[in-house]
Amino acid sequence: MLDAIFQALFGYRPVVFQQGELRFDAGVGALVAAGLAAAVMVAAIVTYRSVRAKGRLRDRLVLTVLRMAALAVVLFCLFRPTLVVRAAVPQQNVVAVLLDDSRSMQIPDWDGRPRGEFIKQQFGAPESALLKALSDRFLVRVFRFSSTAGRLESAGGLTFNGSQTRLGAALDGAREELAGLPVSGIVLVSDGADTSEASLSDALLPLKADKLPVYTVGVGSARLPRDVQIDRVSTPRSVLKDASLLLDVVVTHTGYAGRTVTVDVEDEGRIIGSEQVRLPADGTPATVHVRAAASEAGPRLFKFRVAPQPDEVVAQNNVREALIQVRDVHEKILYFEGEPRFEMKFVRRAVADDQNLQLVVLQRTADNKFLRLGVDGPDELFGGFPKTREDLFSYRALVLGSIEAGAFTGDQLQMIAEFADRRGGGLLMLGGARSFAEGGYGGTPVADALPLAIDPRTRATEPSDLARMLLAPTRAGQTHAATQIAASEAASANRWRELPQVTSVNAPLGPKPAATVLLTGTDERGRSQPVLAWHQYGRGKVVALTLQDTWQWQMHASVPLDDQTHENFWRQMLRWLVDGVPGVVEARTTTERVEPGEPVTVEATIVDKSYVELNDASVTARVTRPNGATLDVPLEWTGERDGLYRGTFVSTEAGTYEVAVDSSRSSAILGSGVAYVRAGPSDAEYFDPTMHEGPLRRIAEDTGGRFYTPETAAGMAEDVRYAGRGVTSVEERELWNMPIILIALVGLISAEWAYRRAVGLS
Amino acid sequence: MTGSVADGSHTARRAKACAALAAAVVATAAGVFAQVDVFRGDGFFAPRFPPALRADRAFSFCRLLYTSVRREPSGGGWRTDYPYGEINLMIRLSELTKTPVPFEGNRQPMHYVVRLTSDALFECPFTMASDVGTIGLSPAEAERLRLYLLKGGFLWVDDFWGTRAWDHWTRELAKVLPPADYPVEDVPLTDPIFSSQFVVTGVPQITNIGFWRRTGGRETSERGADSRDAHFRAIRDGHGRIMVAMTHNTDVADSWEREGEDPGFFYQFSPNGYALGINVLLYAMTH
Repeated sequence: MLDAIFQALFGYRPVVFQQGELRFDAGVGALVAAGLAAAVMVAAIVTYRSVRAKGRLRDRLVLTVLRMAALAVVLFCLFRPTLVVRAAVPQQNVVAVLLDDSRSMQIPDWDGRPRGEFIKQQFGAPESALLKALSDRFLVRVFRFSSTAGRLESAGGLTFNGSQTRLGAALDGAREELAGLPVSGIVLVSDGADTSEASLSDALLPLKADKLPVYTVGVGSARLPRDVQIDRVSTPRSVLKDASLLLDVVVTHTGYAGRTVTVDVEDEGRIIGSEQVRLPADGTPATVHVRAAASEAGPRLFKFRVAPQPDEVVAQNNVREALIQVRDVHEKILYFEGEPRFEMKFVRRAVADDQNLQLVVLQRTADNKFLRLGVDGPDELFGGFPKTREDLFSYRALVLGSIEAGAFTGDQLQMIAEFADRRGGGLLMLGGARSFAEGGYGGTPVADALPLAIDPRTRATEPSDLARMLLAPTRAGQTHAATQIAASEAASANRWRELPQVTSVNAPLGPKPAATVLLTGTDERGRSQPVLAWHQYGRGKVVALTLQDTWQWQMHASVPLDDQTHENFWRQMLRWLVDGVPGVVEARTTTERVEPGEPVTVEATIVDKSYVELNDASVTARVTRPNGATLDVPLEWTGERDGLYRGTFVSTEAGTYEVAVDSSRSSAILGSGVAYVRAGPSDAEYFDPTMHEGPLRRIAEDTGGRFYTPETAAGMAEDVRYAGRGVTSVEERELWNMPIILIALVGLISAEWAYRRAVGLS
Repeated sequence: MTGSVADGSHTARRAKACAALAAAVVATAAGVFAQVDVFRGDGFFAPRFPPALRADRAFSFCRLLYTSVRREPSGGGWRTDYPYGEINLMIRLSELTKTPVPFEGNRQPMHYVVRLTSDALFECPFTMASDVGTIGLSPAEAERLRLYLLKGGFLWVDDFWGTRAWDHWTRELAKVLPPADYPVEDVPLTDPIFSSQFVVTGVPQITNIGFWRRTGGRETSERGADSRDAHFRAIRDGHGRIMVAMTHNTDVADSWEREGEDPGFFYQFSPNGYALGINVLLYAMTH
C-alpha cells in the first residue's frame, strides 16, 4: 500500500531512489531562469517588507516562505533533476526463485488458505503474476527447497511435504548453482521457519561478499488465532527399566486461555501417564509435570500428546516425540554401613524387588569385622572397603551410612570424593552418629564433596542432639523425581507432611551455594534444617540425607501395611543416584533423529577402569540398521578432548538404528556402550508454525534485498531490476514531471493565497 | 547370582578369625563375669514400658508382654528371663559389635516391654518372647502381630519345651500367619543367620539354671525324651527372609540372664548362647 502511494506520488518505486544517483542538467535557459527567479525572490522579499502597515511580521514571514518555496520548486524543475540508475538489461540476467516446499506451507493461515497456495498462485504457471513479472525482466531459475534443494521446472510440482526447512542450505545451493552467471538477485518465498541447526549467518556471509541481494516473501500469519503446541519436553536419553519418570512438558497456545487440556504420555502407543493443565493467558507457557513409568526395555519412542482442540489451525504440533533408551541392567550400588542398625535393613528391603538395582552392603559389625550382603562372589569386598579406584569405581553409586571418616585412609577419602568428581558416580551420605561432622568428616575431601557445609571443628565423638522432625518438600522438592511419594505433586507434598516423625543427630551448617535442598525438617521447637540436599560435584552428583530412621515410614503404627512410601522413596532415591552415571564406554549420537539418508555422527568417551581418559584405544561402533543389516564404523580419537572418539555413518531407511560401541586396548576389552538414533521425517515444521518474519527480514536486510508480504510482493520484480547487479544499463529517470512536484507547487501557491485571505492581505 | 557373606565362613583363614572371635566372647564375658558387670536374674521386676518419646532410635531389645493361657513347668510366662536376659545380651552386643546400644545413667542398656496392642510395638523392629508355649493371642493381638511381621518386624521366641508347648505355640501362631502361606521350617546351619558374626555350628540346648543345678549339668533336655533335640525353626516371608525365629527345646536367653551366677553354667552355655543371640540380632538388623 505504501509502495503504491509512493509510486503514485513520485512516479517510481522507492528502489529507484535508493539505488539512483541524483543529477541536474541545467542549461543556459535554466540558469537564466534561475537568475530571474532569484530576482523575483528578492522582489518578493522587498515587496513584503514594504507592506509593513498592512500586516504583522509573522504573516509577512509566512507568506515570504511560501512564495520562496513555490519558486524553489519551479527552480528545481528548471534544473532538470534526473535519477541515474543501473537497471538490469531485460532477459540478460538471471533471477533465482527459491520456493519453500516444506510441510509448514500446508498450514492454512494465508487468508484461510494454505500458504502453499500463494506459491502456486504466483508461480504455478507462466502467466502467474509474480512469475510473469520476473520472467518479463529476467531469466528465471526456480528452485524448491525443504530439507534438500533442487531445480524445479514448475511450481506446480511442489507437494509441500518436506520435513525440514533449511534456509541457509537453500541459499547456499542456489548461489553455487548460479555461480558464473549474471545474477540480479534471489527471490526467497517461505514462511521463514528454519528448522535446521545450521547458522544462518554462515549462509549470508558469501551473499554479502558477492553483494547478491535476496528478496524474501514471508507467507503466513505472524500469529495463529487458535493453536495448542507441545512446546518442548525434558526427557533423559537413557533410563533404567521400571523407572518412575517425572517428565516436564511445556505447553503453549493461542486462543484457548482458561481451557483445561490433558497431556498424555504414550510409550509405543500405550498411555503411560496423563496430567491435566489449565491453559494460562495467550503466549504464556504452561509447564506440566507428567508421571510415567518406563516399563518396557529397549529403545522406546515416547509421544507427548494433547488432543486437537476445536477449530485448531495446526494439530500436528500437539504431539512431540522422544527416543528414550530404557536399560534393563543391574546397577551396582555399594552401601557401606559402619554399624548394625535398622536403617540399612529397611533400605535393603525397600529395593529388594527392584530388578535393576543391586545393593551391595558392606556392614562393619565389629572392629575389622564386616558382613557382606548382595555380593557377586566371595571375593567381592573381601578386604573391606575398596582400596583402589579401579575397585571402587566399578560401582555406579556409593552410599555412606553411619561410618566415621577415621575408618578410611586418607587416600580412600580422596577416592570417595573422586568417585563423584571424576568417575561421575552418585554419592549419598546418610545421617547417623558417625556421619557428617559428627563422623569427623570436617576438613576431609568428602566434606568438600558434600552439598551441605559441615563444621570442621566438630569432633567425631560429639553427636548432636536428637532432632525429631516433620518433613516438607521445598519448591524444588515438590517437582523432583526423587521426592515424589504420591500420585500428584499436591498429594506428594501432603503425604510428606503426614509422614511420622523422623530423627537426625546431625546438624549441618547449611546448604552450599550451588546445592538444591529438596526436603526440610522442622523440629518440635519450630527450627528448620535441610534434610535432603544435592548438588553436582564434578561429573557426578552428591546427595546428603541427614535422617537416621526413615524406616519409620515403613514400620510406624500409623503407616498402613500396603503403604509404599518407604519403598518408593528409596527406590527413587537409589535410581536417581545411578541415573546418568557414565560407564567405561559412553556412546552417543550427536542428534536424536536424522532424516533418512543423512549422516549420523557417533561419539564415544573412553576411559579405563580407574576412569582415566584413553586416547589410544581401539574403538568400533557396530551399527545395526532397522532391517537388521550391520555395519562396523571405526571411531577415531578426535584430538579435541582426551578420551573423545568420533565417527559417522549414513542412515538409509527410516527406523531405529542401534549403535553398539566396543572398546579395547592392547587386545584387552575395556567395555562397551550402546546408543540409539532414529531416522525419520521430523514434525519440526509444525512447531512454532507462525510466519517467521525476523529471519526473512534479516536475510533481506543483510544482503541488500527487501522483505515483502504477499500483499506487497507485486512490485518485487521491478525492485530486483534496479538491484544493480548482473548485466545492467544506465537509465535516467527525470524527476521534474513527478506528480508530487505539481502537487507541491499547487499546494504552496494555494496555501499562500489562502493565508493571504485569512489575514486580510489579499 | 548375589549372596550374603559374613567374613569368616569361607576360608580357613576366616574360620580361624571366627574362632578367635568366639574365644573373645568367652574372654570378654569371663572378664566381665569376674567384675560383676552383668546382672543376676533374681527377683520380680515390673515391666519397663517405653516412654512416649524414646530418647533415640538406636537398637533396643523389646520383649513382648502377652497373656498366658496355660502353664509350663518352670515357666514364667512373658516374664521368663526378664529383664536380665535382654540386659546382659545388650551389654554383650555393645561390647562385641559396633551396634550403638543406648545406656542409661546407671549403665543399664535401654530395653523395653511392649504389648502387641501398643503402637510402641512398631518402634521395635526386633522383639523377643519367652515361654511361648503358654501364649494366648486374641484376634486383635494376632492381627497386630501379623501386621508387625509383614511390615518388617522380627520376632524371636525362645524357651519353650516339648511337644505340647510346640503344638500350643504353633496353634497360636497359625492365627497370625496361616501355615499354608507361611509354613514353619527347620533352619539349616548353612543359613546366613548362623554366620552373621560368629559361626554357629549347632543349635545349643541350654537349660534353665535351676534344672542345670538339679542335674549337675549332665542333662540338658528339660522334658526328657520329648525335648531331646533343640531346634531352630523359622517362618520366612516371600523373599525367604526369616520373620519369626523359634528356638525350641532350649532356653537360649537363660545363658544370658544367668551368665553371672555360676562359672560352670557360664562356660557350658553362655559363649554359644551369646554367639547365637548376637547372630540373630545382627540378622534381624540386616535382613
